[in-house]
Amino acid sequence: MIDLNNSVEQTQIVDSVRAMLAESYPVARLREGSRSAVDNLDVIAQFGGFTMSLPEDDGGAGLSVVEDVLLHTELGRHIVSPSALARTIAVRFAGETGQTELVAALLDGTRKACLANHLGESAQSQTGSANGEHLHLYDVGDADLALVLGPRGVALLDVSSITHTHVASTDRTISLSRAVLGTDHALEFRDATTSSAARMARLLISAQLLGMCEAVRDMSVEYAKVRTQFGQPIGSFQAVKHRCANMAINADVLSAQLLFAAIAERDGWPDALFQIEACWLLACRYTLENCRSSIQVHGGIGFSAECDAHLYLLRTHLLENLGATNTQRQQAVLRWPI
Amino acid sequence: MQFEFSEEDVSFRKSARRWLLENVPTETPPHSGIEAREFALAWLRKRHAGGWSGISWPAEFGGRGLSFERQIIWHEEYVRSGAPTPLDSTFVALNHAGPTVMECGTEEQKTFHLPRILSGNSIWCQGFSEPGAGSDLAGIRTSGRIDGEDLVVNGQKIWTSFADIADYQELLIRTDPGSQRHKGLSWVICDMTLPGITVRPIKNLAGATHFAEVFYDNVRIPLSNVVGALHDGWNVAMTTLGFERRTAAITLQLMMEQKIESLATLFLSRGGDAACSSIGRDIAIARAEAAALRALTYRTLFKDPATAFDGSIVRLFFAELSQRIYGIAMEVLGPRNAEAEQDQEWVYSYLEAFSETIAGGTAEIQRNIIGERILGLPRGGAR
Repeated sequence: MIDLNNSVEQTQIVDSVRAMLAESYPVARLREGSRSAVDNLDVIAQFGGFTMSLPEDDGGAGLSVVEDVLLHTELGRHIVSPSALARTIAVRFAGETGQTELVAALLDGTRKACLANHLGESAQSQTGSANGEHLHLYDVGDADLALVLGPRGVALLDVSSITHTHVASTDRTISLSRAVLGTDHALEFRDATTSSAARMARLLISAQLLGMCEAVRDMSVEYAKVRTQFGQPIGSFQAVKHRCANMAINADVLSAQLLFAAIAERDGWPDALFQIEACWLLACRYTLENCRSSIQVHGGIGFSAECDAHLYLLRTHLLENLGATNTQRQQAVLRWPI
Repeated sequence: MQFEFSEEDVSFRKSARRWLLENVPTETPPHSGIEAREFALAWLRKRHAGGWSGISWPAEFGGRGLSFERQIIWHEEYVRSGAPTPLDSTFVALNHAGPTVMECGTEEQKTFHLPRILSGNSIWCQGFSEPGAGSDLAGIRTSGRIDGEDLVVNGQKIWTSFADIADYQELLIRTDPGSQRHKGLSWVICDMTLPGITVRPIKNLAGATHFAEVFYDNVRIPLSNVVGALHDGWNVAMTTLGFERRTAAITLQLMMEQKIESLATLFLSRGGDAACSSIGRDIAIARAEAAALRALTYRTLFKDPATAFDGSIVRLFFAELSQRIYGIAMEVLGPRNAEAEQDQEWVYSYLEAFSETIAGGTAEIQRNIIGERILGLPRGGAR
């Protein structure tokens, strides 16, 4: 039996997530002047957003990565802090590595995870002269754990065991810190061939990118319907219409592949990792394309900080660098066993 | 969301695979002419004899009436077996003319034509485009004047694939004199052997001659050959749009995965420096996109469409992806692509693929449809 429609339960989840996010995390919160501190994710935690795919015996909702993907698509639409990725994946990671106490602590909120990106070893030219493994940490806030994403997979790091310094962030809606790990601080990465947490990271990043890919499409289409020039809505001009059509194709193709990859992961298909890698590659590529197009469709206002388009662009650049570069993703897809 | 095949489906897959393994023709299909006709008909007759013809046709019309799951299995196995492209001279009959007759035809028309199509005994071509009616199909001028029991047809059609080897044509003509645009057209079955029909084959840019101009000089077609109501041809032509998602185009879409994989193998076997080269990058992206095309193809089958035009996205994505893939092939071949002998199928496919974004609605028209019918953007004054 094949049915690619959302189930009744999945539709209900999406509807209630949308209502929750519209209420507590409107994109307007990120605009210049109205920006508060780091996103407080308590509302999403209370909603059960970080434990949906955890077994019911462990305090979760017993759903699957497919429902996580649906949730994170909506989180992407609302440009929610990268900590949401960290908190979902950290629980999975702690579970699959048998750290039951940590699972409990993450669930009751005594421990919190933020997200970190592994920049490689000895990246001196970029980050100073220190040797060691360089990290970026996002929205550390009161987190005491960092879920680290790198080309070798995912790892957990005790934030209290490192010193991190605040640096200015290109994505001005998040707080960015830099850290260097000493040689005594070897991270134990688990890679995507063996770790479901690592595969989940790729799926959920892709899901957030899809949410943004769709959001900028929708913004652009709505704007093209109302903005008039030469006495017509600009969306009636083929140059603009076709740009919007391309954005629709990108979003639609990506959503199909994401759905497929999520089902492949949930059901343990032999080629699940390939489906995920293909999805991740396209998610980064298409979303960036759509963000750039969106700025162009919006014209002058699109270039201004008053338009949300740039918020999506900057977050897309942040997400596309998590865990791998485009070249690394391309290698993985190119060399997947034929 | 579910994606599971039942045990019965799995054994269906086994029997499809076994049959294909034993019966798929091994020779390269001829591209045009009477040889192309004989080859395509022989392959269809073989499928018919084996019970594999009309897999998406309802059982009441002699088809297999398979579930979408089993159609998918058949298409997957068809691709896997290396069987010839379904986009041959039988394509219009099986995927367009046949379904239209099924939907709108009279009992006589159904009884006569459908079994002939399924059993590999008639080739059809499509007479829609005219020199003055391409993207703007409603500009059709070829006329059918009612004279007693006949329509007397005068005018010209163009870009008619396999007109030179077809038995019948689905012909869209203006039957209501003085009518405008979409009104006053009729969808007519035209016997290609009728007096007054002249077919002038046109060689395409790939060097093949499988399409043609067709001229009609007082061609008398019985009124009983009109399918659907007289003057209602536009609606009849649109009926089969819904059938589109059940056509052999699915096979073509699934074939792209195989194409890009053999291209990746070719590239890597020639020591392509995948890390730094733009070809390696392009192949990786195309491979991911071919996977996504499969996902998109399945979604159009197994998800309720948001709009009736969702198919435009998969159609356009397929067309442009196939052009990208064959474009990459030309680059992988490098200077060797100058030889029409060696690796000729890549070069031939590259050239043929230019039609993908022109035939059956140009990429520009498809983007208009996506913009207007899916996204709800306003129609422009200047089309």
